[in-house]
Amino acid sequence: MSENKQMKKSFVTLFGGMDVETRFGLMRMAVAIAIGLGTAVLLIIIGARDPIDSLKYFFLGPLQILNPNVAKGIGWNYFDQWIQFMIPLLFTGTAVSIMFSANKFNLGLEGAIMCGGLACAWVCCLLDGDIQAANASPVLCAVCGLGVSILAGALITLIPALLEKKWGASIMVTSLMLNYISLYISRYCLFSTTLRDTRTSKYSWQWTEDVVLTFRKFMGTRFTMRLGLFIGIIVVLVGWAFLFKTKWGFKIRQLGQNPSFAKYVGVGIISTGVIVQIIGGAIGGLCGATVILGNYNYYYGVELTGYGWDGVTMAIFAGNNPKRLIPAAAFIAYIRAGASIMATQPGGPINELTKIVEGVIVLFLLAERFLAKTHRKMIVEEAKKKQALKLETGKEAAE
Amino acid sequence: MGLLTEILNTLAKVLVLPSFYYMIIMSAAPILLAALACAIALKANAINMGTEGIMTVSSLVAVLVSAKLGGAAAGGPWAGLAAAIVVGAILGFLVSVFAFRLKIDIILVGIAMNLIGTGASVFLMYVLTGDRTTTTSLSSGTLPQVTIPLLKDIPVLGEILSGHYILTYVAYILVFVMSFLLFKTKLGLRIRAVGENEDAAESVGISSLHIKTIALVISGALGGLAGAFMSECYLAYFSSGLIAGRGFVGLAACNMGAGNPGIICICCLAFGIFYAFSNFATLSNLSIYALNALPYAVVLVGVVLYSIYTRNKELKRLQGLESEEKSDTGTVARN
Repeated sequence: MSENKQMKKSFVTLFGGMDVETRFGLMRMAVAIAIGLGTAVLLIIIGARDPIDSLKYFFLGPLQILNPNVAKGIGWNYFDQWIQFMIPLLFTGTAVSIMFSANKFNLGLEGAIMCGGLACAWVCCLLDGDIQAANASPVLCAVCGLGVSILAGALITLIPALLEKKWGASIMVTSLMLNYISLYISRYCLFSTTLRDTRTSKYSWQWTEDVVLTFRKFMGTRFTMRLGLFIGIIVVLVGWAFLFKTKWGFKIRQLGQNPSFAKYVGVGIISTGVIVQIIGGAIGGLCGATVILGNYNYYYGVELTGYGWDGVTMAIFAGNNPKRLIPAAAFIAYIRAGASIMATQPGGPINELTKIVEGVIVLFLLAERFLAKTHRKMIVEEAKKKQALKLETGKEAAE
Repeated sequence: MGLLTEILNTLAKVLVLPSFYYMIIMSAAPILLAALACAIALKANAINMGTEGIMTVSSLVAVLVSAKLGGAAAGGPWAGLAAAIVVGAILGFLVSVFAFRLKIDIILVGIAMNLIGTGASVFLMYVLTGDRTTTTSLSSGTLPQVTIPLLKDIPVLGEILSGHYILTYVAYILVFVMSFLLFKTKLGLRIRAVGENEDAAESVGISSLHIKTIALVISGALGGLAGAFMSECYLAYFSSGLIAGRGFVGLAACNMGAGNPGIICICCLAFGIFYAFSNFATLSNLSIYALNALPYAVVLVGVVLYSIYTRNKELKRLQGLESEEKSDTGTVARN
């Protein structure tokens, strides 16, 4: 009898130990993802010439390394694509999580990424590239490039922050405009300044291959080692520690949850708001630089990357908690890699469908009223269970 | 400094060309439509950030429907226009459903709408036409250009004001319609009441949910109109980068005008100058990229100037109140 109760108790601590909200959150996420993937399946069936084949690539694409029928080289490339898509999501997710935690809707991340990449490329060209033979060591070059990119990115998000602080200009509007201005600055630098490689006229001058943060055929294996992934994970972890384990992070979250209370307890709400945006932009700049240094040894930024908007998606997925960013980024990168592998197969539909899937998942994740009835039922059940448990233990004590 | 003088020099060169003014009116029209779409939503305190996405989807729908019905000869563009408006309205309704019935932050709904809109339009284009970037292979045609009988014979003015696409005129007429709707009708009063104080509006029996939904449906329809303008007037096809942030610029214009159609129209014309300017790049020694960035930079500066203006006005009002209070307490003390 008592053994049974013991077991029941341990079961309760295992599953019931998670409070109702967490359990419900997990369930809602699962349902939202299921709806999103359902949409994907539907779209693939509509769009693909051979739906079964396309679905196989969509769901199992990045895992084709495990498939003995697929050539190992291609399998590893597919796997690498997954990693490659994951890197910017880690950075931008952290940046937006930090900014949204303070309720600052600075959408200038896109511009920060653009300018960060550009600044980094320029520094690399100057230090160790074709423009001037300064011949710095590759490590110094990469470090300088990443450092400058942080400054450039911070500058881009600092502008809307200061404009709001000084004159109350809407952050949303000014930051959106800065994205487009950054894009044209980047195009201008790439095509109309000494940065342009006069031989190709499409890209910038090159820097040495040694600065590239990617090591193909790492240690003789087929694995492509991307340092960017590690930088990204470090950024996520530092971002999490900053937001949840430091005084500053506490202030930031306080500001986001209740600005009046934050002001009352002495948080400098204006300076905190500005600092949050500087941090966000700095991470964005670093993201741009990591992506640029991680792919080729020249600069090619002529279109907005869309990573800034991805950051918003990621922050929503992670509920503004960087800790959850790694699985979230892995998931989104996985479906993106799957879609892009599928799109390269003959007759495969276009990979843009992931945007629809992401949008759908975001909407259902955020919908407060979605599954509200189930939520209520879960709470009631939980309460009943607790009451029953209380009664039982009460009886036991009486006996 | 060199950049500024070069801009001024080029401006002096193009300012004498009637075609420049024609271009201003034309390139301001889609922004104006987008801004009006944002305005009615803003007045109901529902920021419709999804205008960009709504425009993208409806511009594609317009082209597809028009091409399906046989292009310009068979009146296809008109059907396309109607379809774009209907699709826009449906998307606007969806925004309201997600924001108010399912209780999601409306800015995030807008962002998701943009995400889905850009994805869905490219996907739809690929599925239906097999093309990944543009629909130039379809002959969808454009809406007719209108020559105004007497006006067209006046030398310079005729060149500037006559011969626009019909939607351009519609856009400017809609400024008055929107003013009338917002400030002279029962619905407009309710929209503004809900926007200013939802609880107060509810207390006198206005359903804020209904009003906001209506505002967003109208907003979506206007977004659809703006989308149709882009793919049936501005260009004769849809491409993946067609809208190019015009929905966002419209949002900026709407913010600057605080939702008032008249001021919004002036802002849009001001932005139009710089959009038109970038079409005359050949007359200038300026880099094309600097010219392309100009409209966005002007919007940025405009928003800042407008905020300074409103802040100063607010400060003055507060100072006025303070001095009034002082004189009031003064009289009380003397009594």
